[in-house]
Amino acid sequence: MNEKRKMNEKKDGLRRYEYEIAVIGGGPAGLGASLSAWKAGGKKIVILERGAELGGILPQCIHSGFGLHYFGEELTGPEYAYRFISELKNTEVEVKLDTMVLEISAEISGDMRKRILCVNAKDGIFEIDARIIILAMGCRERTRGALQIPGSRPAGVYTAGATQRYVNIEGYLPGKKIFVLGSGDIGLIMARRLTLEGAKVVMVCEIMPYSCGLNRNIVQCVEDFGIPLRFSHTVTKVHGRERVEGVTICRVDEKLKPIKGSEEYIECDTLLLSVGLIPENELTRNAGIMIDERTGGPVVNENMETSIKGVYACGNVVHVHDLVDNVTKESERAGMNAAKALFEKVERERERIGNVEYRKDNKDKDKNVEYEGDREGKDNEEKEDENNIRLSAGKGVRYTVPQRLTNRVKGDVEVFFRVTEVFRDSKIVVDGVDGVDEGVDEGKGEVYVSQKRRVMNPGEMQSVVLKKEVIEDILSDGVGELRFFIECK
Amino acid sequence: MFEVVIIGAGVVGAAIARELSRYRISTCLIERGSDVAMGASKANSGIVHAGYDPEPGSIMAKTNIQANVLFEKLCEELDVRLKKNGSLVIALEDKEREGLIELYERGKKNGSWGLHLIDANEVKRLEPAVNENVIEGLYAPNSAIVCPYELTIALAENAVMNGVKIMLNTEVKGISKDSNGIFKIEVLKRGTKGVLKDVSNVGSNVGDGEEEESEEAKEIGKRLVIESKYVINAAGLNAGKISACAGAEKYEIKGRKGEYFLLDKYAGKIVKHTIFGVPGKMGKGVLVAPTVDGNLLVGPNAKDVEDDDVSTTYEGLEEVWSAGTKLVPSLERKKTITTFSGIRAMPPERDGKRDFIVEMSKKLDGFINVVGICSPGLSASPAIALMVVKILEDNGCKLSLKGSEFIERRKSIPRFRELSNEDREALIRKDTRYGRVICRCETVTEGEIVEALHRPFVSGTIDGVKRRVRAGMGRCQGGFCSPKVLSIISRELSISPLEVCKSGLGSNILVGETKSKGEMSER
Repeated sequence: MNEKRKMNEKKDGLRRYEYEIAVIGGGPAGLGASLSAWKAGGKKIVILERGAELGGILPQCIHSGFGLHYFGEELTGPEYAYRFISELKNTEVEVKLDTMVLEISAEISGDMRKRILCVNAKDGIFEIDARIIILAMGCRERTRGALQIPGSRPAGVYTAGATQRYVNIEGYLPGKKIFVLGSGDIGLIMARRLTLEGAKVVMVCEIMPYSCGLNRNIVQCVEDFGIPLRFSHTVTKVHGRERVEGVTICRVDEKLKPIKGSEEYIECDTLLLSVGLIPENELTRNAGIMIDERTGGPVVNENMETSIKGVYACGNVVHVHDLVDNVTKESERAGMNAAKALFEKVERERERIGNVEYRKDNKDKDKNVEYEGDREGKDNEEKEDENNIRLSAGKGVRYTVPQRLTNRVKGDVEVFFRVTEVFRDSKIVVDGVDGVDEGVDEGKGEVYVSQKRRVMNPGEMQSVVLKKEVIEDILSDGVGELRFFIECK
Repeated sequence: MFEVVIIGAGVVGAAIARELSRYRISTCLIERGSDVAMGASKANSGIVHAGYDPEPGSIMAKTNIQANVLFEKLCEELDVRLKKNGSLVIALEDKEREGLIELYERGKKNGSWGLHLIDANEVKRLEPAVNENVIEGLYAPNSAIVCPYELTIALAENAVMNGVKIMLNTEVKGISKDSNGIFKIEVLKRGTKGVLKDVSNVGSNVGDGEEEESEEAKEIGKRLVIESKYVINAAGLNAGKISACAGAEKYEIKGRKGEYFLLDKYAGKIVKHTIFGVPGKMGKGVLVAPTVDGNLLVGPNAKDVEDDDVSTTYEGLEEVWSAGTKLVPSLERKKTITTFSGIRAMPPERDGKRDFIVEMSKKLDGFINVVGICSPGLSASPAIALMVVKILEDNGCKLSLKGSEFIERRKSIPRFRELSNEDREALIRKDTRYGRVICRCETVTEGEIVEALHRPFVSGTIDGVKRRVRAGMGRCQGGFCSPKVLSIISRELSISPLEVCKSGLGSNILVGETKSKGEMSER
């Protein structure tokens, strides 16, 4: 089987390049991961970026507010990206721009390598073989279609990110009278940006009773400009034949259903959508990597490793972040652990190759032996590192990242999570259960963390640190599941 | 002067144009919209029906059955994807069984072969995802799926390759007949200056006209008079108005709107066949069907409307969804990519029956009405075209075949995502733009988009490109690629980005420049 496959590949005649680490995506996550992998001693690293430049969405985010946490200073998007891009120039990390990854095969034949099918104008169709893949594809915006907003389908309905590109990169205005649906950060930023460009932002409306964006953006982009802001409202109809002429908005009830009789017509020529971001995981899904339906991203462990060994993920492809600073930190973790795993892998392979050669010399020259040897090695590897502690989201918690801890987990682990609604003066509690008492009420397991929080907002990512000592306890207690939930007053 | 003018470039008008392009006559296809397939042909279920639905003896039945056989060859010639996936009508309650048997009997009378009634187990074996309460099914192996605008565009392109003139953005304002029996069709060809430069392949050689400002400020139009010996009225929802304004029959064409959900390709494999419920009095009802591109379509409902407003409604979408999940309970609404609606042009009632009207006007000689082409209009279109040719021939139109001059085959734009790696590589070697992916969701390359803008006829709009190559058709709905597509259109057609429209005139994507635009271009 393996033999046959190799021959087919030859017949295929595709160019193939070999790397140790392939990073898919050159946005903040890809940049952070590749730089930290390099610093940790990783060699032969390549970034595959579908855009014409590095930085992902950052080049079009010309507002400031980036880097406060990571660099301790306020930068614009392009400035933030530039710090990493210029640092990258001093490394041997290779970059392939305008390169689209079409497919990743996480496990090819028996040799523990991963294969990536790519296309660009210069190289045509080609393959990349790598020992480690780091997924950093980012996310995309939720669309009108996904929300199923009724009405006509004229020009003038744009996502906030597309608008940002038209305005900040292309230099064009997509409308003059703007209605913003959703309080996502890009929408709020664009409300201010378009106002500064002379457009009138008639309203920002949000279906939830709270903001989905950062509080600072509500203040600095909406309130400071006197833009009307409505919560618990949504658009129920788009009007206009060729171009948007207006929208009907409605108040919604607790179940987010429009309330009949609360309709209101708002005149506008543009409906700008900032209604959520979705991790972009088509490649991940197709590779058979386990996806967490709550985050829309791959399930990862504390090393940012996915369900397939040697495939790591970081940034918005895992879960949508509010701050690029956090993306960077997460990516550095992924990059560092990837480099570390690589050393271990090379080490193991060296040992294994020794074994195989020994066997070849002594037994027969049948190539199958080689694969057998490989398979044994693989089994050993799997035994070494199991993701056997599950992190679950209980009452009030939408998801956690990571979703798994390995049995080799060491040191402090920061777990990120989002809450399902606004909680005031509540506690985030983490308890653990083993296989036997699984299913007992939340809080009835061994409680490892119980921290008071003044306010927790769904729009702002939360985190809780599991201290080194706590981790040790968790391991020695043989915990199978760590449950994260909110305890109200 | 043209021998024949066809009004309306839906699938029927385009099929007629293509059929006529086999003959040594001059034909002009006039379309009000910015592209072909802008009415019912754009937004329908894309089913080539097996022919068990229409009333035996009707034109619907005859053309449907006849065309079903023609489709395979037609699609092969035009390089249009056709998937013979078969259809299943499922009865979920005892009282629906009767309807199922009626369909079966009707199908047999109509001549739809291969139909058979199958029991619940067999239905479940064929389609494990259907409602488990299914009691019986009607299986029609001859039912197929096709992309309706892909077909219409292919028909029109092939017609243009064979000499048919096509005029887009051209609205008929009046039709009269002079003393020599020649039709004078007064039209307004709309367009911004840039678009009027000639995106539609017809110069101002058609009649003489002057540029004039039309009502809407940004629009510029040319009034032209087009002459022809025969007029074919295939104006869909507007066919009644066209017929009346020419002085032919007055038809009351009612619109019947149908709303749809289009689901992500992840949901596209839930069913293989087209799944129908047993029809009610408003038509075939909601279906669940895969599309040729691998998405899943759920719809349509049926609601009589007074105008041509294709807005979707909250209630309508709820209705469709609940009907769809009744057939296939595991449908996931969150996999929706978009929702849309289309309007069927319902034929007027004559002698208590509703049937397609395909006939020479009894009041106005030379004026052929092709009116009330609702479902199964797409399925019947190739046969309707043949009927029209026959009517022309019977009424003194001299039709002589071009023979070998006729270009029977049309090649589609390469579909990068469907090609083997070898073919992709070969394409990129020829033109490196095929190596640049513009639409990430549907894997559409710059090469394909450029090609779409240099075809036998072009609709230089975002939607025109989308319907030809699928850029923006995927799950991000153009969020990432439409700025890029816009700049490619602007570059390839040498028009300003501000002139690029989503679809019709006035649907400009951008309205002005930013304050610092000047500085940006200086960089």
